[in-house]
Amino acid sequence: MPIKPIPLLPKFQNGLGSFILQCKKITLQVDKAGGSSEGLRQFLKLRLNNYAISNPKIEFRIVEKHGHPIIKGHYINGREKAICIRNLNVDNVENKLNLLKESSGEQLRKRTNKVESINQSIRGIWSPLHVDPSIRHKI
Amino acid sequence: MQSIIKSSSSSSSSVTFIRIRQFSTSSTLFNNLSNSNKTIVSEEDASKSAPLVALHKRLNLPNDYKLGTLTRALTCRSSRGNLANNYGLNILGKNFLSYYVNEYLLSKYPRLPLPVLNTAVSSYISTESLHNVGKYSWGIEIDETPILNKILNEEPKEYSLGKLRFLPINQIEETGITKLTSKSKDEINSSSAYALGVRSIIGGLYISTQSEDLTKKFIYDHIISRKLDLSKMFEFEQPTRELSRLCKREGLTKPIAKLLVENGRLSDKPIYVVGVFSGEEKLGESYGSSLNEAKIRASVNALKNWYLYKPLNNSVPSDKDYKPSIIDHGIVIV
Amino acid sequence: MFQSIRSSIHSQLSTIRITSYRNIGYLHRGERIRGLIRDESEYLLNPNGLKYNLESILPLKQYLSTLLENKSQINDELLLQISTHKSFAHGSKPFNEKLAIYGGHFLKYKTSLFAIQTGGIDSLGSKTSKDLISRKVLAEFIRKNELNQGIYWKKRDQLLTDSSINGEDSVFATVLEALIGGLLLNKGKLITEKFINERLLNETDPNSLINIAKNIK
Repeated sequence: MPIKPIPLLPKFQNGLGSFILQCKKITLQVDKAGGSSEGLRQFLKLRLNNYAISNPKIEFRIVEKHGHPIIKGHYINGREKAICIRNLNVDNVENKLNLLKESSGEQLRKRTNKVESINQSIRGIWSPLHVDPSIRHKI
Repeated sequence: MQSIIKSSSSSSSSVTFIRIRQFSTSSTLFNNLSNSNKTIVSEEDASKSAPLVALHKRLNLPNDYKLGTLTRALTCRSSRGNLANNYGLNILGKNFLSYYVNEYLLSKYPRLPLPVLNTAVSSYISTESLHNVGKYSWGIEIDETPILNKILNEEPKEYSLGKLRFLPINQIEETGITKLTSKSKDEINSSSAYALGVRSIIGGLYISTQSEDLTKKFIYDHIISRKLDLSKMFEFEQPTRELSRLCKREGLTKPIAKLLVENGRLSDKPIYVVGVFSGEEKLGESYGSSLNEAKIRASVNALKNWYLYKPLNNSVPSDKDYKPSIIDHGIVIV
Repeated sequence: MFQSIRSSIHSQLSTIRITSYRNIGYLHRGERIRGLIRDESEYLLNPNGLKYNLESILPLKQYLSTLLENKSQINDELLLQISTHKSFAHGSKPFNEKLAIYGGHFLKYKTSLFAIQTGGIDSLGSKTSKDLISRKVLAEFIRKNELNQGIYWKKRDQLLTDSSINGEDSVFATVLEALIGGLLLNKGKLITEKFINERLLNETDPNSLINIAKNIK
């Protein structure tokens, strides 16, 4: 065969065409009696229902366990993010939940380039051979 | 771990907890084709499954898309239980996908050679590719919790409706237990199950909305919007020969390679830039560390310029304002 | 050898054509002589002995003219491409391979929607819905509608006469699929849907796929 095809897999570009929220599940671990869970208990009692209705894309799971309260985000890429919310008040609990909700689930890392792209530069790479012949360097 | 039971007041939120999953006593190991004796999950039951509601919302499915249909799309034919399976939805979804992806590629690159076209189509909709969509883009989960754990966790039976159900090949092996029965033909691996699920969700979208346009848009948004670099999918065996055959067929003057620039011919790292010309027209250009290499690269470049031609008009035949563009004469046979 | 070439050139000097200012092209007619390029019109024949030209597509053109009514017709070159299989002339003429792939997908897609309308989602994947677009049925459609004369292809083996073995069914099915593909690319979806609904999936038409599939078993 004169032309051999090379199989490749396409790359996802979340947000192009469709946007899929990366956080799929949040587990709220609460202690029934512990003092450090006071804020989370209040959140569960007063705000969780509305919060869940306004975020229908996320599944919420409540787990009762002894110890400090922990909220855990489960992401589509298979990773988890856990935050200990001991002694936080209701508003701060909600802020931490928002943090989990908006995260992409990717591990935090330092970005070295100002621009990151999976596309090639539209200008192309500079070539010394394509400059004006009169000023071209010659060995 | 113990779960607190909390029922939500609105069906649109995904906070839910339930009891144990129940199994029907009838053996459904050898499912027959027809779904006639299978149950379709009611909306009320389905809305109790938090992952199902969340998946429905995450994919922005329209309200016409019933949760029962989504459950059905996630139930493979090999799964146990008495739920209606996704056999028909899968076929429908597959037909939708293969038509629209073919149409998109043919309209965007009218001259794409058939082997590359087929590979590109399968890049978008092969089992592996759809497995990635289902798992890493849509976040569908597999129902793999053992039944005993479900009972111990007091997991409600509706909970797993939002998960992908199938009979896996790699059952958990336990030491001291040898499996004597041969592999059942219904057993599938998880990537095939994911692909079945994704295709069925697309098929289900048409069944629910009866709108070809909405289904087309969904396919464009989720399947075609991924980036695929077609120029990296070519491998030519005889590029110079193929180019001269192509020029002959298209009635162009015989292609001639001309040296454009060179540097360091006498050094051990020379570089040449060669262009391929047909008469006055430059067909392609590339570099190489020998004259022959540069000539071959330039021919490959010329062939790619031909095969990857993109018309400016970007409409496809199923668009309402479609304008016909060129129709390719077929691949060059060397 | 060279003597004979020279003599045949001398004898047919009148057929020399000047194709450009530098090259002289000579196309040989008659008995085959090694080393001479033959005139295409001499040997490019389909299994029915028809020469490769635009006249042979007239039946197809007539067949489509009633469908397209007063809209602009499909141009002749495309129709010729639709009726040319890849096996003809070693692929040197435009052929219908890609059109057929595309049209085949559309036909499959439309028949699955048709199956849902008539029998619900469970009828997909059944034998009746598969038979509707089998090679045999599609080829029979071409024969029943008398479009089979002007199709250009090459038999795998001249001695094979059974149409399901010698490639005839496959080639004819390809032509029908290519016709759908060509209609789609040239006229868009609406007209192609009309073609499929009126001609292929029309229960009242005795030559439609539905009725052919019923009788072929």
